[in-house]
This record gives sequence, C-alpha cells and structure tokens, in this order.
Amino acid sequence: MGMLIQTLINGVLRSGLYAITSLGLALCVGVLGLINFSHGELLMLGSFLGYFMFTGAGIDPLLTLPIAAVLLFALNALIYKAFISRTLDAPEMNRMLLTFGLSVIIQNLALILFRGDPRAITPVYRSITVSLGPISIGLGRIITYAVALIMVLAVYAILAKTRFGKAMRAVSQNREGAAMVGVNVDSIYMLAFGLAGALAGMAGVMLSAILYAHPFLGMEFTLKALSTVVLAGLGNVTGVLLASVLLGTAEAIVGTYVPSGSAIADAVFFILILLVLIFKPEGLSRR
Amino acid sequence: MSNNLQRSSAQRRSGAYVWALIALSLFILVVPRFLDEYRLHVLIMVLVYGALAISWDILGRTGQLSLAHAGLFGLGAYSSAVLTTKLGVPQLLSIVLAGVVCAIVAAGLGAITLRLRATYFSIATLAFAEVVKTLALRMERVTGGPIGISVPMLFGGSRIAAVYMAGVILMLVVLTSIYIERGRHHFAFSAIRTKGDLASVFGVDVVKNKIGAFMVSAGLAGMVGGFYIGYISYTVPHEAFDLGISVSALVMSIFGGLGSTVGPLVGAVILKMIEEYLRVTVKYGYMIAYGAILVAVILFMPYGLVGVARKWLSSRLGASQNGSED
Amino acid sequence: MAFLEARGITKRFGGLVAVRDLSFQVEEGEVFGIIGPNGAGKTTMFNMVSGIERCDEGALWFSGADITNLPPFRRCHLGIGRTFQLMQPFQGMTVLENVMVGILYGTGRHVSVGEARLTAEEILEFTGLADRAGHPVGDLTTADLKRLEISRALGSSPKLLLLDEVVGGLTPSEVADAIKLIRDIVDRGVTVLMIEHVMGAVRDLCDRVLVMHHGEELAVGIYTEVASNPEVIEAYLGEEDTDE
Repeated sequence: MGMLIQTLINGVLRSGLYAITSLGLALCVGVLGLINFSHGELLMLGSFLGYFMFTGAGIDPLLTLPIAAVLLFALNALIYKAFISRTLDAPEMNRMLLTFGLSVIIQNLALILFRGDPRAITPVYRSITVSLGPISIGLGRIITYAVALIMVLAVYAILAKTRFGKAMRAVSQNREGAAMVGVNVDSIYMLAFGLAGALAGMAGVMLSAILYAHPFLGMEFTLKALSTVVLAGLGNVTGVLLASVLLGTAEAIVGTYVPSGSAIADAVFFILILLVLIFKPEGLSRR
Repeated sequence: MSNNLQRSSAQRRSGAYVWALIALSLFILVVPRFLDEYRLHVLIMVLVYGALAISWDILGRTGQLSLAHAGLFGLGAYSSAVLTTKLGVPQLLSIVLAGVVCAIVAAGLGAITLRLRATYFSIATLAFAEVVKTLALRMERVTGGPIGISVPMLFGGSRIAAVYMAGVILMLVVLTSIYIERGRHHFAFSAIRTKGDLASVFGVDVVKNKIGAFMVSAGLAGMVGGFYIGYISYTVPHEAFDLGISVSALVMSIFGGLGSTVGPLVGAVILKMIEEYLRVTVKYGYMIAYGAILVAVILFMPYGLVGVARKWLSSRLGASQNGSED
Repeated sequence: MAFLEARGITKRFGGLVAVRDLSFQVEEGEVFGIIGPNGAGKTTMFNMVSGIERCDEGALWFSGADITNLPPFRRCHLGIGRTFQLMQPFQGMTVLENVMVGILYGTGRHVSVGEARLTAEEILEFTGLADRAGHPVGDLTTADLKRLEISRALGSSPKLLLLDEVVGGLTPSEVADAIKLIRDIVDRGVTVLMIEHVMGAVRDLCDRVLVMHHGEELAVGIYTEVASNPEVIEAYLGEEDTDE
C-alpha cells in the first residue's frame, strides 16, 4: 500500500515536470495551430541559462525564472518574425518541417557551443527530501510542481481575463473572423509564440535545477511534451495539467509494477501517444 | 497538336531515363577502381543515402511524411544481424529478409496510423521510431542492448565489393521508384497527395495505396539497413536509430525535390558530399547545415532543385511554344 | 426496385441535422433534378450517395445492391461518379492526368496507362477540353474547370452521374454549351442527378425534380408541378429574407 501511494505521488510530482515543459507547446498549438518542433530547444536554452546563471553569478534558478521568461520571449518573437510569419498560409506539413529545421539548427548550435556533457547544478533544494511518514518526496520536485501550478494558473488567467488572452482565443477559433473584428492577427501570433517561448524558457530553468542542462535535452522532452499536448487535446491549454498527471502517474506505475518497467517507461509515452491518436484524437478536450 | 507534343515528350523522358540509368551503372562499375579506401567509403555512403532518400520519397508521394525512416533502417539492420548471427541465415539472404520484416512492420504500423491526418501521422511515426529504439536498447538478450550486435563483414571486408552491393541496392531502389513514377501508381499517389479524400470518389483505394507505399518504402529502407550493418560489421542502437538518418533522408528529398526519383538522388549526392566535407572540417554540429538547408528550402524553394529546374525549363519552353498553341 | 433508391437517410453534424429522413427513387436513364434554397442539404445528400459521408440512419440502394456501408471507391467501381460544386481538381497535374485518375482506378477493371491516356483524350474531345489537355489545372477558367469536373467524373465510366451545380456562374452561351453536354451524356445512357440553381437548365433537362428544404423533401414531381407548388415558392422567397 505504501509503495502504491509513493508511486502515485512520484507520478503526480513528475507530472509537474511534464506540465511545465508542455504548456508553451500547448499554447502554440492552440493559438497558431502549429506543432512547434523547436519548442524543446527553447527548453534546452532555458536550462543552459539556469546553469550559467547559477555557476557564473550564483543566482538561484528560481530567481532566473523571470530573466529566462524575458529573454526567451524575445527569442521566440524574433524567430516568429524571421521565419514562422512567412509560412502562415503554407501547408501544415511545411510549417511543421520549418520548425523541425529550426530545432536542428538550435540543437547543433548548442552542441558546438556547449559540447556534449550534461551540466548539473546544485541549488539547495535539489537534494532535500521531505518525509511524510513512510512517503518521501524530493523538495525540488515539489517546487517544480508548485511552479507548474502557478504557470498554468497564470496562463489560464491571461487567456480568460486579459484582452490579449481574449484576442488569442478569438484567433485560435477563427483567424479570419478575428481579423474582421480588428484583431491584428500577426501581432497576436507573435506575442503568443513569444509567450510560448517564455514558458519553455522558464521550464528549462527548472529542468536545470532538478535534472541537468544538455544540448539533447530538448529532444528528450519534445516528444513527451507532444504526448502531453496530444493527450490534452490539441489546442486545449488547461487540459495540460490533467494530461500530465495521467502521463506522469502512468509512467510511475509502469516503472514500479511492470517487470523491467523502468526501462520501457519511456516507451510508455510514445505508445500512449499512438493509442490516443488512433482511438481518441481529440484527447481530453470536450468535442 | 498538343497531344503529339505530349507523347513525344513522354518518349523523350523515357529515353533520358534509360541513358541516365546506363550512365549511373557505368559510373558505379568503373569509378571505384580509381578511388582510395576513404573515398570508397564516401561513395558507399552516398549510395546508401541515395537509396534512403528515394525510398523515403516513395511514401512522401502520397503526402505522408514519415519520421520513422531511421526506425525502419535500424530495424532492418538489427533484423539482418539477428537472422545472420542467431538463426544462421546466409548474410545476403538476411539482407533481403530484413527488407521483408520491415515491410511487414510497416503494414501493421500503416494500418493503424495512415488513417490519421498528415501531421498526426508524422508524430506517430516519430513515436514509433522512439519505441523501436527503446526496445533495441532494452531487449538485451536479442539485440545486445547498448553494446549492439556484431556481424561478419560482407565480402571479407572488400570495400569495392561493398560499393557494388550498395550500387545494386540503389539500382533496385531507383528502378522501383521509376516503375512507380511512370506507372499507374503515380496517378493514385498524386491524387492522394493533393486531395486525399477526393481520390476515393474516383475509385482509388486510398488506404491500400498508402499502406502499399509505406511497405515498399520500409522494405527498401530495411534492406539498406541490412547492407549497412554488413558493411560496418556492427551496429548500436544509438547509431542505427539516429534521428539524423530520418532528417537526412527527409532534407535530401525535399532539397532535391519531392516526388521524383531524380530529386532525392541529386539531393543525396550533393548533401552527402557537403556533409562529408563538413564532418572533416567542423566535427561537431555539422547537422546544423541540414537544419539551415531545410529552413531555406521551405522558405524559398519548396519544390526543391527539381522545382527550380522545372520552372527554368518551362520558362525557356514557354517562350518557344507560344507560336504553336491556341 | 429503382436504379438509385434512398430510404430514410439522415445525416447529423453535431446538433445540426443536415439531411432528415430523406427518401427518393431515381429510375435508370432519368435526369433527376435536386433544387432547393441554400443550406437545404443538397450537397450533403450527394456526399452521402457518393460515400464521402456515412448515413447516420437509413439505407441507400444502387443497381439492386445495398451500398449504405460501402466506401466511396467501391461505389465508384459500381458506377457512381460525381462532380464537386467547389471545384477541386488534382493540383500539380495536367488536365489530361486529372481525367486519367478516374479511368485508371474507377472502372473496377485493370486499365494500362497507355489505354487510359487514349480514353482520357477521347473524353476531353467529348467535353470540349481537348486543346487544354496538357495544361496544368491551375491555368483553367471557371467554365473550363467545370468541364474538367465533368470530364474527370466521366473517366470511371459511371452509370450514375452526380452533377453538383455545373451550370452556375457561367455566361449564357457557356450555359447553352453545358446543357448540350449534359444532354450528350444522357444520350449515352447515363442516369444523371443534378443539383442546380439555374432553373432554365433544370426545366430543359430534368425529367423529375426533388425540392429539398431544411434537409427534408419538400416536393417531388415534374418541373412545372413543382415550380408552381406554393410551399416551394414560399421556401425560395423565404430565402431572400433570412440569412443563409
């Protein structure tokens, strides 16, 4: 019984990781209708930012969060202006391949600049474990989950309450319609894409705190982020939390209870994505 | 009037193909004798990637862009290795059987995923490739896990013989591709690619055609994988399922021009040679060139080199044709 | 049994009922018109007959066979062909190649590429597009695109041809040409269903007419009966006031 609870808690906490890393992608898919393969690379850049701020200036990752948000917002906005905006009317495949190409560029740029060794940092909470009776929980994971909750709530608030958010929702539902009522679609796209970058950057900083920074980090998480977004239902931003909980707990359960499960726990995500795509392509969102 | 023009241009294209094939065969037969070991290796890699790019393109002609090609290549390599080392199958036969295995797997995967929208299909194939890689890493008893499998080197390590074998496989791929391009399948694939659901209204069994294309594409990739492991004499999951293989096949085809035999082949030759040059000079991160090329092609020449050539040709021909039409 | 028979077919899209409990019979060799205000469900009905949309309820019978659950390509092999109101040629192919698709795959028997090319050329002669054979479809005018739709549909040698507004948007002389072409097709023994807004064409060509409104049958009969039916007139007049 204790093991089950521990497993479930591990799963839920791990889901915090998946939630923060997929939130930006969900926003991008929802508003721009674009499966952004370079999302993972912004994650990766965020993780290096977290690493360098800590090792270079002694700044705790939690304090780096706002810096990452600003810098990576700007980067993604730039990427939008320079590349994505040119393909708005191109077929979906072309737009996806464009982001794929960008991800290859960024990833290899990182390889050239940072080489291939994983860099880990050791903020205080990384190695602290909290015990509640027989259950032990890593403090780093708890903090990550808290950050995830805050991010999801923030995005929800932006979408629901602000004018910007309303414009984003309008554009995601009906691009021409929104344009007709005076929304500057191109600006909204740029801001939304930038926001997605900010979210990815912040997630990356948290990754550096509890995992490591590495040029291939993006690739590792892109598929998992994609799984989460697909499970939530493409375009369903708020469903990301639930979807990540489901995926995190599934992964934890497989890891604990299926023999040699930890080995195939990675494959769990991918098999899940296949199953969702086949049987319930709209995921968790209401259809 | 225009029908005669059309028929003779079709005939002219047939003629051109035959000459090109002859030239290609002669090139592969003769040139290796003059190359050193390193250049022979580069030639083999060019042939291998040419085969991979064209085989990838075959499925691409139905509008489905797969990100599983590395998965199928690796599956072919491992199948061939397992057949040879664990089941005692003669190596050359195991290469062919590796192709069969991949075709069967593609049939299953395709039956499940080809009904999905194009973008979802691509994601599903990416997921598939990751699953296969994970299985190869974990099923240690069969695949040797992270350490991989070794097989005896083909032809006792003779590189020239390997070149000929690679050449044979490339020829097989080229001929298959041309057969599809020139035959009735071209029409079904093109109709499916441009207007998927509509093609069915005109009698095309869309699912069957897509699965068929996937099986051919996968079978050929599997054979290339089987050859490759025989050439290198070992394989590890990290290399066999390297995403870079899928990326290369994709970029080469798009760069050269999707939907033709010539496009992916030319794209493969040019890009592979650039890559080899970069690999020696830059070492880390030369894949960046691929990313840049993919981005540039999508933004500026979405129909690839073939598209550019066609536009140039038709602007020359258009000038001379204005007299005879209307 | 009739050549084509719909029995209580229904199609829903979410909460919207596009076609409701529709039944009709078409005899072999007839020219059967489908008219009605916009949004009446006419194209949806065509989609159901050709197989692009599954019937939520009801059954479809063609040439004595139950085709309700057959996929579109099988219905094509049985002899159903159609054009599309929003012209959708296969892009990146020439006019001739567009027609060849239906010939190569639509007849249910094996046809070689060479044979298909010859047959396509014949069809283009018949529909008056022969001089455009080698052109990419992107070059065509609206009138030519409508001819292409018809040419493409003829490729599979259909016994039942569904024409979706092939006469609309044409100049008077083009309309006359279109009517003549449809007559030629009918003379070859093809049964035709045509959705039309151009009443002149309906009056000239159709043996009987079905009026659809809100997805249901409003009236069916010969043109003069139907055109003077007060409910039909009401439905059309009502269309002018409401936003459809």
